Amino acid sequence: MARGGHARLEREARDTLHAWHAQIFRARWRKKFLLAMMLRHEMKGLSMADEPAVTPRKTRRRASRLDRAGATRRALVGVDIAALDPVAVLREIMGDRSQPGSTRVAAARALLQLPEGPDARTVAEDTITERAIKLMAAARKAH
Amino acid sequence: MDDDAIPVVGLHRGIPLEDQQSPERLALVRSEIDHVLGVTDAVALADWADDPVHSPESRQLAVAMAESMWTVAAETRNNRPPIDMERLRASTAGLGSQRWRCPRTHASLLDHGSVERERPLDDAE
Repeated sequence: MARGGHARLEREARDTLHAWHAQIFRARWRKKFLLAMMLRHEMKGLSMADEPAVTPRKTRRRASRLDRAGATRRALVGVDIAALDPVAVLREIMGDRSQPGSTRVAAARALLQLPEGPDARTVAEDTITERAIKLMAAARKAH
Repeated sequence: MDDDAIPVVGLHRGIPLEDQQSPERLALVRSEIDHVLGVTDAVALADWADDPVHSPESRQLAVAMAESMWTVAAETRNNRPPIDMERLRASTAGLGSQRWRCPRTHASLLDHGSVERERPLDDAE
């Protein structure tokens, strides 16, 4: 075993009970068995429970996750929401092959459900009128 | 199978116009249809259909529109319009039927107080 190995072992176990083991090991390596027995006798009075389970290391601080509002703010930096065209966004999602299939299908369905033409305000009224005309036609057939 | 429907002489915005009416009367019917098509209140439509003074075509349209509003409200889980559909159907019963067509007025035999015809129908029994 190389000497550097002992030095590293001592260095890593400096503040733990492993330091005793290192000294005992080094004494045995140098064939100083009496010293090794003395060290082992002294070590018996110490408790492993008082020592940390692992070698203490520097704690690495975990990067904090952004919440939803923060992520939204961060994603919309430099984006003018008023200038966004919802239909164009849906078409872009539908045509984006990198998106999941379910996302593209959802965008396509949303596009299919859009009213045709610019006069979307009267869609409900047109539905009422169309239904009424169909009802009248059905009533005429029933006569 | 006998056809009991009143013959149609034309359509106005998709609404059939009954025969044996003068051009002046047809013009009035068209204006009433235009008015009903512009109404968005179910109660107003019900009141219109309930009034025998108005033309049968516009009354039938008003009933159909009110029923459509009711159906759409039910399908979209919205509040139903405060109208009595049974009463509405009863008050417009006989309209559009040749058998129940009144020969003297522009209404059905079940209506009272409707507008008199300029000339009674020839096939009056």
